[in-house]
Amino acid sequence: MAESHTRSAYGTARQAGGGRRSSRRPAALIFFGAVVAVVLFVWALAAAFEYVDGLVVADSHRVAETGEIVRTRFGGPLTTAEIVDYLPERLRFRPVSWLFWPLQFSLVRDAIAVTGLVGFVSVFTMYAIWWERKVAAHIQSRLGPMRVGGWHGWAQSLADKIKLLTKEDLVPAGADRILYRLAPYMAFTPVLLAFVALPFGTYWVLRNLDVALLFVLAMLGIEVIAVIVAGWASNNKWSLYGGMREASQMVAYESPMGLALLVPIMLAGTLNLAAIGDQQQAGFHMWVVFRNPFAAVAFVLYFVAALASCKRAPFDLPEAESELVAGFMTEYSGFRWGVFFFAEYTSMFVVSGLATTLFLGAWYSPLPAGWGEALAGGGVVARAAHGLLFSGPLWFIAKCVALVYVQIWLRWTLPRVRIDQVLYLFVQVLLPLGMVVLLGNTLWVFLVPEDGIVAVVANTLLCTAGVIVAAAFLGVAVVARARRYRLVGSLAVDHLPGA
Amino acid sequence: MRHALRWIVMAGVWSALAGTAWGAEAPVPPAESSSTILEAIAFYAMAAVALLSGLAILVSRNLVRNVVCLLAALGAVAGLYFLLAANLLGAIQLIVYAGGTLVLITFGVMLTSRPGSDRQLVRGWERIAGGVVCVTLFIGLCMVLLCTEWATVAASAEPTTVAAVGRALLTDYLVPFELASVLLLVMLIGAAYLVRRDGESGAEDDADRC
Amino acid sequence: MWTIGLTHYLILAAMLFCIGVAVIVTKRNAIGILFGVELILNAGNLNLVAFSRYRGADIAGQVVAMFGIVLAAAEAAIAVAIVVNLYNATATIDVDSATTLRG
Repeated sequence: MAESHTRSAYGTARQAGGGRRSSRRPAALIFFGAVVAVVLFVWALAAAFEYVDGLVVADSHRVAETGEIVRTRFGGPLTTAEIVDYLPERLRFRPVSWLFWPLQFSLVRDAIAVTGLVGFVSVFTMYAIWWERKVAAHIQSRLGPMRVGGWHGWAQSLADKIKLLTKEDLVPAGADRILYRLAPYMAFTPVLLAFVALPFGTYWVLRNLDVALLFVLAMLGIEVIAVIVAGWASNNKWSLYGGMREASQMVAYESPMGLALLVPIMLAGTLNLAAIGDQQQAGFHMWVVFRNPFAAVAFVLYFVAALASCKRAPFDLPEAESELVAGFMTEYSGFRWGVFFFAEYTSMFVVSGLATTLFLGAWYSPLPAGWGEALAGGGVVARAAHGLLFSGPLWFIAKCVALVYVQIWLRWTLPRVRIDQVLYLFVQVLLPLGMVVLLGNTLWVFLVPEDGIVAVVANTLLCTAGVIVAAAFLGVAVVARARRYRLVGSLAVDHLPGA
Repeated sequence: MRHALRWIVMAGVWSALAGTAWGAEAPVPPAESSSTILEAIAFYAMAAVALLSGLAILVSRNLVRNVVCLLAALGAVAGLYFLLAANLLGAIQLIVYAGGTLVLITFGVMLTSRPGSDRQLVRGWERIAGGVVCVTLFIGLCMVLLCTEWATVAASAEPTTVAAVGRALLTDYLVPFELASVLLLVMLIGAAYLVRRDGESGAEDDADRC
Repeated sequence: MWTIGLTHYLILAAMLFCIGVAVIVTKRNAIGILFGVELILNAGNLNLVAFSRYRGADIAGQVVAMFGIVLAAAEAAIAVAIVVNLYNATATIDVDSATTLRG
């Protein structure tokens, strides 16, 4: 699929540097420098938000104590002079207060947050595409993109994007022009909107909705209509087949998915994703997936349904390239095609985010929270270490990326199933299984006392199983790395350019 | 030299990451004070979307375009529900209506449409008569609306919680709730019965068509 | 103008309702008529939710609107089934042509 772009990228790599060695190091430096700069920027932004929040809270306290007029928000903002008053001695300069002043308006904060989200999504999808190609290549004993940018082809997706932007944007004859042009954005916008309610941390959420889970699911569901519309508007029978397959597949996978998600909802007692995440903070034995056997089955069930909802193999029937050319994307080219790709990888992140939040301990690290209490009260370094080890959006993103990796891995190792097999699987196997899981979980919640011997034993067994799976995963990775000469061959490891 | 550089860069990355994680412990932002102007802008925008897409459904003869218009209208109404502090209802509208019902209708459109063959609208004078009826209806409704003294109570800005709706469903509205589930079951069986074709085993045929 | 009250929502719902009625009376296509029904149901639900909000956050309106959404889903499923059946029988979904039962 994406492999066809490598040829165009060769030219770029040749021009970029004369000697291979000399061009490689600066590129890697630029890459890491960019990462550092982005992270520093985010950190500075978070610090600024924290600071202004403190100001606003302090101001409202002063209002409560002295009975002065409320001056925050739209009732009348803090003036720069007041901000200067609040600043510590060393920072009492006018320009600094100008920097902080706009941040007290929620509109400005939202604008910054939305910009950050869009940026994150763009960077994530770009690297997810690059990563998918690398993983696919390594699974097939190839190297994948190695040229562009110098360091393992890190700029390959960037080059592809530029190529897609400059490509001719065709609208086939006889297509419904308006819908054909609209469909990619109808696919991408809902997935992006899902991030409004998807929390990256307890406070790292754009809108902490009471119904966040339903909202995210609804956004994933609306994407389906875009695929159907794209298939219909293309005036191409392969596209239409793709669209219809997506519609029938969606009718099949939605119900097991909903049943599976009812299990964590029942255990948490809320639909608020931030609250569900916060209930799992005391270490990995508190994760919902290890809570009881039914929850573990529900996680697998959800993940299978999520694969279908992202149109990932083995359920990528809507775009099955060996049968339907490219399914609903057959007629698309250039930028619109790229937008569909963005939507797919973003929704991979969203379903992984839901899985992480609902089953895998959200943004909390697997370490027991008790270990971190000594660090939490320490100095700056200790606090930073505590933040890194125990909570924060980084853990969330890391877990999501791990689940995205699993999706990529499954795609390149499993064969595609037939559409009737998909429908059979979801309607006649997973739907009854989901009902059994739901019923079992209900009985478990009613009959098994929370700290009783049964619950503890089940929790311990499931945790052990989880640790064994994780250890096996890491072990296989380490062994494969150590034996790469035998597995892949010295040609790929040593001799190919850029290896 | 190269290794030293790499270590320095990695150290920078990790310290920056640590810094971000630290920033995660931000305090709760203070509660939002509702803003009338923003609410009004949001209301008018959603109302415009709902009405325009309704009108587009009225004029357009292309059924798939109608589906997209209906999606926009449903989305706008869901937005109005959010604006009315009925978060749960807005989400349900999006997930059931826009995600479920609309896909079903799209199915219906695609299974039954033959491009260019059917006349979509009624005859000319019937259209005019219908329009007159609707405008009259609207004027009548507006007269009733504007002449009535609505006893409104000052609304609270707090959204209705899911728990409150759930409690109401399982206490005061238990019988309708159960009846709705029976209705859905009847609907499921009825729809399956209606589209069943005699003398054919459905599964294999469906597999062929996809 | 800039303070949104109950009347704004009621007028909007009335407009949506009338558009829905217009869609029903002007379309001959069965699915097109279904779109009109959906618009009307939405207008009704919007009214219910608006009353629920402006009558002191009374939850009854929301609950009834929820039942309305459930009914709409059931209605759409049955309607689509009937339409597909009609299409299989007569190869058209023009409602004027479904006259076999006329005495």
